[in-house]
Amino acid sequence: MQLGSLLMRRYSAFALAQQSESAWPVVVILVLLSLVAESAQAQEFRISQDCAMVGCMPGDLPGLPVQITQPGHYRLVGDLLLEANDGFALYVGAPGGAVTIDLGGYTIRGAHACVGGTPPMGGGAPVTECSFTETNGGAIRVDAVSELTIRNGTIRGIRSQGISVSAGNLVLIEDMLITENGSGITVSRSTPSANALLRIRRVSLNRNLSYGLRTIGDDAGIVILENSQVFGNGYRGVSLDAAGASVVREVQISRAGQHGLVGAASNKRCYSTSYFANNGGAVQVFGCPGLYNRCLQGSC
Amino acid sequence: MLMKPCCITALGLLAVAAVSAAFAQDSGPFIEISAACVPEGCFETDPPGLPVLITEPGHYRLTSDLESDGTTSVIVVQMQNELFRRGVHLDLGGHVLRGPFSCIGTPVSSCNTAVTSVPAIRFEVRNGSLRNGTIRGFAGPGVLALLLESGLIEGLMVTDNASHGIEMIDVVSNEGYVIRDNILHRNGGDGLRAPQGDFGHALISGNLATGNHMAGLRIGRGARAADNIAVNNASFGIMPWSVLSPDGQNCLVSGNVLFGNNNDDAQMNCSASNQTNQCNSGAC
Repeated sequence: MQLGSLLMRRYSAFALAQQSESAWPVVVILVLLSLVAESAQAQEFRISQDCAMVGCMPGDLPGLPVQITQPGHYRLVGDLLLEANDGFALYVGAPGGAVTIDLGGYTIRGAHACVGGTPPMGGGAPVTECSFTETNGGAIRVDAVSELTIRNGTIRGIRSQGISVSAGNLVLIEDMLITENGSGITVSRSTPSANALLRIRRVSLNRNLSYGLRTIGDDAGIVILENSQVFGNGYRGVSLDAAGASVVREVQISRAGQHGLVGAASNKRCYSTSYFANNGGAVQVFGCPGLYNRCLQGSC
Repeated sequence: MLMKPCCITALGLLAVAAVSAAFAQDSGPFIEISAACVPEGCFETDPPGLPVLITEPGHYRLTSDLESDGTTSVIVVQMQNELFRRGVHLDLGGHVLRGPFSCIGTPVSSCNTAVTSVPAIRFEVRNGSLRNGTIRGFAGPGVLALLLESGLIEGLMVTDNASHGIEMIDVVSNEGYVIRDNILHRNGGDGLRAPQGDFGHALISGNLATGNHMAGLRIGRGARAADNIAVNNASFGIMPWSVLSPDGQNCLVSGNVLFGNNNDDAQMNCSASNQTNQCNSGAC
């Protein structure tokens, strides 16, 4: 628990008590309750817009990004608003450590929205324009970590990437809605990472201005995208440009401005993945052979 | 201003009830295991130090990472005879059991320690569940499950162990069990190594077995492996023991994606398949 907000809550309770002597027993109970609750949660760092202004945990400097430099469990307890020129909202730089970020159902939010890119079967076109004016750097940037899990929340309206991964031996991203950003998830390893594994599942990567998912640069290791939906992205739905094996499995990819999926490097396989209305109805997918893949419009 | 006694009593009762409710909500009906309690024993029947010894049924949860020298077990579940069939449910709480060792290459070519049979978690119980955490860097298998009759192993990330990721021995699977949604990545043996004998009614589903030194998933007689992904393992993606099931098949497999295993040679060596699996780019 961040000390500043804890003291603030305590202060508020005591201020209440000063206004009425009869409130003292209530104050004691409230303080006792908060101590019990915080003790039980001691292993988890909470992140909020309020604490970000003063530093949410040891190693985190005031202001955004909230800097995660120690292994541990981190949970959003409210939306995070990324203002113009804020850089990133969350920065992960915890070499050799295991980090879990639970967005707690909350949203990392920029102030902007995109036009176009309606849901898969509802007609319409890919995103054509977003009202980005600020220069912020992205919602979550992963620069150094051993094991990382990001789950359970929304990233919306950020000018750059929703999640930018450049490190991590084992990375799991699940149960996320990533929409109306510059790109959804970008994997760009700072060093060749043939031993790394990235698993992305149960995510919706939709209506981002450029890519839904893109791997680029040096060997990204093994990348798995499964049980997800990718639609309405302005350029490509999924672009697997980095070396390393990738499997796309049971994903619906639709209404990208260009190909639904491009496996530009070797060693990409798709299974039970469907494509619809990408690339203006022309070729839907390039370079990802496999079984049970279907192009409902255009050719595979 | 003084309060009336009735109000003070009511507030006191409210406080007790509220504190109890808060504690129950936050800690749950779990017995906690953490690095802080290990030196003195985390509960009455647990002796000081590692391994944490669980001999009583119940729900246990890790509330911090645990580290060891990698050659001794971190958690041992071992029921007494009269408690053997009662359940142990162990939730790693998203935390890490960490040893110091690591492996080289994908698929793994070697690890920087001699292989032992001592697991990070020894799970010796008839009925139970094990879930939600990372096991990394041990000389033995990440998990050794013995005598499991019914239960669930899910949501584990098992990596960089010099032996198998999850090893199962002497399974008594009359009721069936499920191994699902685990990541078995770059271990020095098989990703999953099921017992050679009857493995009946087990469901192995949604697992990711990648870069292991031997097979991705080594399954036993009668088990069903569905919707798993095995990539870049040194041996087969799915490999049965040679013993055939009563219906003459040694694999019950469907919907698996196997790719880049076995040096790009055959991806699985099952005697029969319903052809819904993908081996490299085609059906198998």
